Parts: sequence; structure tokens; C-alpha cells
Amino acid sequence: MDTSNWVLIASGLILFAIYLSNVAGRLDRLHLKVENARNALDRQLALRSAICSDIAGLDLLDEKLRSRLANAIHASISEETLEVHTPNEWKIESEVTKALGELFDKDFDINKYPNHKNLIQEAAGATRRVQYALTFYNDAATSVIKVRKRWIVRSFRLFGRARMPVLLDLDVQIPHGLEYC
Amino acid sequence: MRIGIVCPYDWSVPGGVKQHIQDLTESLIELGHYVNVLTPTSAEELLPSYATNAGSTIALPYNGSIARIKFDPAAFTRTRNWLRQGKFDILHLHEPTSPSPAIIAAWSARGPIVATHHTANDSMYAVKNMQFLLQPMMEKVIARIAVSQEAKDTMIEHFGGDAVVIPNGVRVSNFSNATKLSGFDQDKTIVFVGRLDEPRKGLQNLLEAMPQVFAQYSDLKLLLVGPGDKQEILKAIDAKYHSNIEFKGFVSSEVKASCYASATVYVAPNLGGESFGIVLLEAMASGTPVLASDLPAFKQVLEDGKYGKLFETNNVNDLATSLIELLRNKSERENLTKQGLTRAKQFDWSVIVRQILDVYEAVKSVEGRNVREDFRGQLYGRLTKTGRLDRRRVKNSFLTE
Repeated sequence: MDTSNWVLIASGLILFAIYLSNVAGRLDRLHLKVENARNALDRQLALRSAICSDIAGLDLLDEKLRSRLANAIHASISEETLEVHTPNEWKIESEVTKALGELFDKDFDINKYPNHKNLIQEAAGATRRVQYALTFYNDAATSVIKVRKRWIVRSFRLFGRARMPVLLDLDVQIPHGLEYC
Repeated sequence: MRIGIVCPYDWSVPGGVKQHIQDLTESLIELGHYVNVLTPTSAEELLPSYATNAGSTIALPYNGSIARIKFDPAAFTRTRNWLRQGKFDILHLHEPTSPSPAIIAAWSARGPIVATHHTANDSMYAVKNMQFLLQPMMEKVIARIAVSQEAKDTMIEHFGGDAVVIPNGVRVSNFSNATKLSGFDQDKTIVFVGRLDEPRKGLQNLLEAMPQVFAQYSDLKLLLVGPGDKQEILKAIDAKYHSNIEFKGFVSSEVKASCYASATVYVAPNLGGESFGIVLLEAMASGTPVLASDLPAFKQVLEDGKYGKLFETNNVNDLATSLIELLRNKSERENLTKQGLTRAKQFDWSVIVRQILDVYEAVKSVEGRNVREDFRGQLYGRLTKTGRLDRRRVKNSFLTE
């Protein structure tokens, strides 16, 4: 083979290496995005528990539903203080969502509680932010999963040691009564 | 919070996206946030104080409509300057897939970036072909908002992933305080708003139904608001009713509000292609009872008839009888006026803006840092070490500012 062929092969290899490094860099950024989104979700869940524990103490609302919420929040706060994620986590958080949904059902009218309007609006915001944070997490996770499925990424192990993100299934329905607060 | 918003279209041309951005910006400023809008414009002297000129515009056919943007080095420089001087906590792009300053901003920035998708039911021919170019920019976007379920579906179809749905808002006070037009009897006026020559708006069905209605109410006026050819419309209806029809043509949003306010009933005979019934909300905010076709989007806004009367889509007879019923029944109209106002208030910008702020909050906690210029420049950045070079450049610009 003469030199020109060698030059051609070498430049091809270099271009390929650059391409691989590009994909790896992109994947790296996407993984970081997923990790940040996950942390944000954890933070929003903790904020929701904190704000809604004040709601559970509001004695204007139905006693039975409030105690259900208080129990759910108690469980979620002790879960959130753990350093690690447990398999029960999503069940516990979904229970908070359900308890809130029953407390603020379709017939709930914020105008009946003028003295606590701010608190209730805060709670509405907290439930919305949990829903948003989950959406953004799943959005980021989907894009990583999509890239990681490509054969070139799999065969060159361009994802390094990063773990495959999982899509989270968690009940984050905004309570009907708080939808327009 | 310091928020930078990028408007994709010419500020001096009225349009849905521009209206959305204007209302959002003003609502945010009312709440005490600092907002600056980067927008192309062909009339810089008309820009409000919160807007920055992104450069002159050029008409570019895109996606069946006209996008207006010039991609030149000056536009890049201007965008980077704007980013540097704004020191934003949040960068909010609109219609990030259209060839617009939104793309330049997404290219030049990193950090907490939010994007709102407005388009629904589009072929997005350009997007399909440009996907490999758009992808790295779309991946910088941390939070995606769609203005309706349809817009969300369209977005997911092209880019995958997920988005939150936050509907368009309406500024209720702009409509509820509108002055009535003179020369119209508020018990005898029907109003239609929309392009007269756009078949999907369903005006031809309304014109077909009107003779039945005029037969019962001979002094009823039909007020048509929107651009279109008068003569074509008049041809479609018997000459003896011509005196019952009034044309307003293309009007400003203030006059439009007055038109709603002067009407007995607002009719939306649309046949399809609506992703969200913003017009219904405008009418409801003006205190005008709404009669609309039962499209999914309209049914959702009117909650199956609770907030407005529905008739079967594309059924002329049903339209005529429903309209006559509504004109006869004053107490039903009064009830709908009351209910409609309640509904409109749920979509008031003061409510919607809180949802958008929740997105900002959630995104801020994702990134934990403010918006900054992106010097990574992908491949180019790594080969030429632009990163290092740029640090020096930032320092210099800091000294000179």
C-alpha cells in the first residue's frame, strides 16, 4: 500500500474516534441531566411533605381525611430522610398524592377558606412542582435510554460506568380541588 | 427571579405566540420579577421597554407559515450580549424548533432552559430533516411545556420524551372591562370571530343556519370579526338578509373585546383543527354566552356544556335550533354568562403564571446555577480549547462593561 492509502485510513480512524468521543460527551451530559432531575424530584417531594404537613394540621378540614394525610406524610418524611432509595419509596409518595386528592376533591372550594388561602395555594404549587419535576426526570431518562439503545453506544460501551436510568411510575395527579389555585 | 424570554416571531406582527409572550411577560413583571424579551422586530421604536431587538427580520417560508428571522453573525453576537448582560436565572424559549432566535439562544446558552411548544397537528417537514442539527440544542432544554394536549402529542411524536401541559391564559380584565360598541343592541347581536375564508372556522355552516334564525328574529344582527372577502360571504346568503350582516374586518384586540362585549351570543362553529379554545375563553371573559361545536378541545374548555352550550359539529340544523333556543331563553344566557366568567377566571394569566413559575422553580432546582453562555461548542470547543479562550473573553467583557 502506498502512503496515500495509509493517510486515508488514518484520517478515517481519527474521524471515527472524534465521532465516538462526541457521542460519549453527549451521553455524559445527558446522564448528568438525569441525575440533576432526579435530585430535583427528591427535593420537590420533600418540599411537598413539609408544606402539606401544615395542611394536615388545618382543623377546618375533614378530620378523618386529615389523619390519613398526616400518616402518609409521616411515612414519607421518614423515608425522605434516608440516604438511600428504597423500593417502597414510590408507594409511600403515591399514598401522599392519594390522601391529598381525597382531601381536596372536586367539591373543594378555596374561597371558603379565606384565612388559609396562602397555605392552600402553597400546597397546590407543591403538588404541581412534584408533577413537573417527575415529568422532567422522565423526559431526561427517556432521551438517555434512547441513545443508549444504539448499537454503536452499546458495542463501544460509551456510557462508561453510568447506570441505565429507569422511568419512574409515581402517582402525581394534582388534586381536582387545587387545579386552579 | 431574572427571566429571559425569547420570542421567535416579529413583535410588530400580531399573533398567538406573540400575544402569549406579551401576556406572560406582563404578568411576571406585575409579580415583581425582572423579565427581558429578545425578539426580532421590523419596527424597533414600537418595542416595549422590557424587550430587546434581536435584529431585523426576513420572511422565510417555514412549516406552511412564515417565520421571520435572519441568521447572520450579528444575530449571534446580539444574542450572546443579551445573555451576558441579562444574567438570567431562567431562559425561556418559545417554539424552539422554528428557525428563529430561539435556536440561536439555545445554541449559545446553557443552564436552566425552559421551552414552550405551541404548534399542534403539524407535518413539521423541516423539523424531520433538521433533527440531527436540532437534537443537541433540544437536549439542553431541561423543561418542556406544551400549551395543549395536542401540542404535547405533536412534540412527543417528533422528539420523544415528555412535557407538562400548561394552557394558554387569557387576561380576563382586558375583556370584562371592554366598552360596548355603539349601534348594536346587546339583545339582538350574534358575533363570530376568526378568518372568514378559513373553512375550518366553519363560517359557511353558520351562514347556512342563519336564514332559519333570521326568520324568527328579523332584526337580529350578525357581526363578523376577522379578515376575509366580504363579497364572497354575502354571496353565500340570501340578499334579503344582507342588511343583517355587519363586517368588522381585522381589528385590534381592544376592538375585538368590544365586539364580544356587545353580543348576545358568541358562536364558534369550528369544524376542527383547534387545539385549544382560547377564543371561547375570551368571549366568556367578556361575559358573553358561548355556543360552540362539540370538538374535543371545545368540550374540554366548556366541560361538556357546563360553561357554554354545545351543538353537534358540522350539523347546520342543530346549530340553528341551539342558537334559537339560546336566544329565546334569557335565564339560560344569564346563567352561562355567570358560569363562563368563573371558567375564564380559571384560565386568567394570574393563575397560569403561577404554574409557569412552578416550572421555573422546579427547573432551578434541577440546575442549581443560572443561565450562562455555552462555550463548549461540542467538537469545535474540544479541539480548539475555546473553553479557555472564552474565560478570558468573559473577563474582558466584564472589565469593559
